[in-house]
Amino acid sequence: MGIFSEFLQTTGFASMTLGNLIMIVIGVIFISLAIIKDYEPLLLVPIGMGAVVGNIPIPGMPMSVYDTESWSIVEPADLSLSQTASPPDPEAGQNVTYTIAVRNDGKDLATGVSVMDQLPQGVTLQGFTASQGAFDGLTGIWTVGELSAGDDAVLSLESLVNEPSDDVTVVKLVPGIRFTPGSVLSYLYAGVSLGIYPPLIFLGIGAMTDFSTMLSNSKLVLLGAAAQVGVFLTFFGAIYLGFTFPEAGAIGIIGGADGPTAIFLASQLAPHLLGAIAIAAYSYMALVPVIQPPIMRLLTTKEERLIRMSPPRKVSKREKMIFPVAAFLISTLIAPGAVVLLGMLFFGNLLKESLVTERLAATARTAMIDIVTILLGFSVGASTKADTFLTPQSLQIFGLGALSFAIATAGGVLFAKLMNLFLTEKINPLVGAAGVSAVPDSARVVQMVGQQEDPHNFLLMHAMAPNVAGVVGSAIAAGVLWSVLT
Amino acid sequence: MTEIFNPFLAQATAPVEGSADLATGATIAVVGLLIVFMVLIFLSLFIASLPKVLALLERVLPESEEHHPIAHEEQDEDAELELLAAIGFVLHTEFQKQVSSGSKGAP
Repeated sequence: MGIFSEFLQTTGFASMTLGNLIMIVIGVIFISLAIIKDYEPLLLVPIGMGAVVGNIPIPGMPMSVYDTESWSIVEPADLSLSQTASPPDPEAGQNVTYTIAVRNDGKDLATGVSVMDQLPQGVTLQGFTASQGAFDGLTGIWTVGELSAGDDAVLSLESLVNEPSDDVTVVKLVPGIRFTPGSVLSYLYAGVSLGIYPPLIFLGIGAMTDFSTMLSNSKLVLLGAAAQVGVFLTFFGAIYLGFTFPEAGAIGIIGGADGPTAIFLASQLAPHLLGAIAIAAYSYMALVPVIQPPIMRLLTTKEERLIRMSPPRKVSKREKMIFPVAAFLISTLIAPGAVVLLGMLFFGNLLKESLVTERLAATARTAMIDIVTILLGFSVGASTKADTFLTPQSLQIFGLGALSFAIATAGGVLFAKLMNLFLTEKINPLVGAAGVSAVPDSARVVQMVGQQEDPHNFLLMHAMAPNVAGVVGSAIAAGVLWSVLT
Repeated sequence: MTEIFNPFLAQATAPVEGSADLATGATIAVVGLLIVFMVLIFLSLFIASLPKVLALLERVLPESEEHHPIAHEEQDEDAELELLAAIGFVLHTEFQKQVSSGSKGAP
């Protein structure tokens, strides 16, 4: 009986929390949605399975048999933070010194430690001194670096109080995501945390994207930019709700409706929110046929939806070959932050369009992107452990993500209407909704909504132009946010 | 077991309530959107001018004279396969006609 009791203690049931259970159910729901409803199956199946795997607690198993933490996320290292203000209740016009101390109470070296501490409103930073590392006044990030066991580091912020505020800066640790070094998931997750997988997926996307529709109608490119309004308005909204700048940037990019871009930016700016952001991004991409049509109908008249556009012109092979190189140069010289994603996107497209590297292009758009998608989806899913995922913050992220998507759709449609004020050859404003870059789902939705009004109106090819422009636009938006917020 | 703080994910943060600077956020949002627009406007202008530039280039370097051996080989191969398929289809149709007319004529 005693042995049986001990055995029970080693099962997952003994350590299962309600949060774990909920996450496993969520994982199963994702898998079901992918299989039954065909919602983004290529990503939702690996993410769903990853969520199931990442939430199985395996306590007490012998290390030689099974690495107890290989398959689960462990709690943050034993770092503690403290903050004091001197004087504690400063008056307007008075100088105040905030002292932030971070201490490693664990037994091992902590590396890559960074602390985020933004001053309350009404307080201006005058100067700072750090016992180690560097402090960025804009982002409020103090990059501490390594911290040996038992050591501490101190940051002093000299500030001027312009107006007293009730805001209190309480320093706290946000749960990080980490896997035991050497475990399978630690290696797989490195592809996410180092930002390796998303650019590789962009390579595959580039190798399968045909920019012909965009090249045949240059005006439609602007719709891909207009839809990015969702990214930046949501970024602002997230700041208003109290998220930090990097967190807000990572949340805002959900509106770009580009899963790899969202994962890339979240892994760089707010890794602790990666699971929620990735799942929000892919969920909303899967829900494009549900979210977009009401907004499209609300913002357009029947006459506008009936507009027929002239067929796209034939694009020469030369144009298609020159475009990836030239577009890369133009984009990244203006927004160098997007060099990683756009570099891979246009490189993949060059492989396809050059006609001399067809074998490489075929590999990039088939086997390679499939392998990376499996690894990315599974790793992201496994990072959605209950205690980091089932938080009020995640709900806020889902809300902001939906808002971001809606704003992006509206932005594209309204900008198309604005363009029509100046164009002699009118654009069907529905194609503006495809600027959100969920390729090719949003273009299909445009086709579907257009054909509900006129079954003989074929908008798919026209909608593909802002659709692929949206991919470029969201990558640039991510690059801008990345370069500004890091 | 040795546990090492993940170098890429370790992050401690100060709370955020009321601490974010809305003005800075608004500036970043506006400037960011302008940058996206600027890049895509330049791209749009480039795409619009590309056919004209290529038309000029065509006089000096006609597209048909470009050197893409593999592509041409592939295209030739495709054309040959299509031709063979067409010949096969015609032969098959004719053969079927003959068979059916022969069977009709049979007692």
